[in-house]
Amino acid sequence: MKVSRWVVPVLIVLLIAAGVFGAGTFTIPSLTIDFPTEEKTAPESIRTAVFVIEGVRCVDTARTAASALEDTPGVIRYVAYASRNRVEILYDATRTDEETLREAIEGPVYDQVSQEFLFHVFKVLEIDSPGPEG
Amino acid sequence: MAVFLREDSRVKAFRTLFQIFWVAATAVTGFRFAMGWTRTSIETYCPFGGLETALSLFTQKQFACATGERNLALFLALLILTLLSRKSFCGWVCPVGAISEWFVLMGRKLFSMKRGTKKAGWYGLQPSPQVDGALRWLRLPILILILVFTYKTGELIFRGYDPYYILFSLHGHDVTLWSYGILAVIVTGVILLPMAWCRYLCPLGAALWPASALGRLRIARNDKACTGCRTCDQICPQAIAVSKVDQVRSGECTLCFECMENCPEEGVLELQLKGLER
Repeated sequence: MKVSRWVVPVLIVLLIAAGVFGAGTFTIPSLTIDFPTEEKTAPESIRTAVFVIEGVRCVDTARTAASALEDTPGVIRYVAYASRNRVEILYDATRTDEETLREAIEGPVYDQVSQEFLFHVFKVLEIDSPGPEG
Repeated sequence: MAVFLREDSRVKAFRTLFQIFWVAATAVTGFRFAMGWTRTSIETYCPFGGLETALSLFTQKQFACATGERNLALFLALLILTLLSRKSFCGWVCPVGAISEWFVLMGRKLFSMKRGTKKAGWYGLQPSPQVDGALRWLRLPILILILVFTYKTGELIFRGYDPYYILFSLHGHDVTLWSYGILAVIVTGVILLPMAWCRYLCPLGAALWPASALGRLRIARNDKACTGCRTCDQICPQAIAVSKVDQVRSGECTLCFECMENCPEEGVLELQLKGLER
């Protein structure tokens, strides 16, 4: 069946739009780390902190940012979405808070390659955390 | 004024504008990211990233390196597009394909001026169909190496050698002096051998080839009306021998319509939508 050539750009625009907007309908993490916790956390004290972080741009940088939280008590799970520079941290609100997590991430991080502490590697640009109910 | 032009000229003009739009949009995105005005890099819009991350997603349920949902969704959309309209992405959207085509146009103009002829034709090196066919297989090991090493390292190892990234990231992450050296070699290759990157090296082109060969939109040739002048063969950027087939089934066809636009006879070549038959 003969068709107009205009069908090609129409298909391209439709499918690119479907790809761009369809991407917003699902999320898959770049990195998930469960932190070992000795104390049991009551479900009602679990909170989620959501940060958009400058410097988190790939799996490696997301892992480095997670390492900054290793000494922070109360961190339960760390989930990074590197392509969105977004990190979600599940924490025990009785042991830590959002500001402490932010300070830890923005603090010095140990670089395995140079074996030195690096400063100002990460900067929290946005805090997008849900409320206590979230 | 465009309404007074033939459909051929209107589609051709529109395709050129379409390509300019995508090149400009990519350049602006790269510039804005390099200046720190946006967090969205050009990598976010690369459908090849969706393929690179596929093994990690399948085995580890997580994305590789800087890839994300948009890369995956764009790759899936591109796969559907290719099953419908062949490698139209390469001929209408891909910025590297567009720039390569502009090199071909420049080369043709220079060649025509030198030879004092206005006839459309190739310039530069023209390998025989056998050599051309063999060289096209180069893309396959390149594709496999990239997929395997990306999976093994979790890094986008191709980034520093990818002309799309080198051209538009404005000295982005992983771009070194080597990258510019490789880019210079690719540009030289494209000048000497038209569309060399797309034909012989592009890993995305290799990945799309099987879906493109099954593409439902095809250029069909009316053998009775064809005079056998072979202008279509000479003008095709992918060096497809259009005049030798009744339908262009080649997985290399980008539906750029250069053959249709340059055919001197009316009604010889037309775009057809095929059913599920081969």
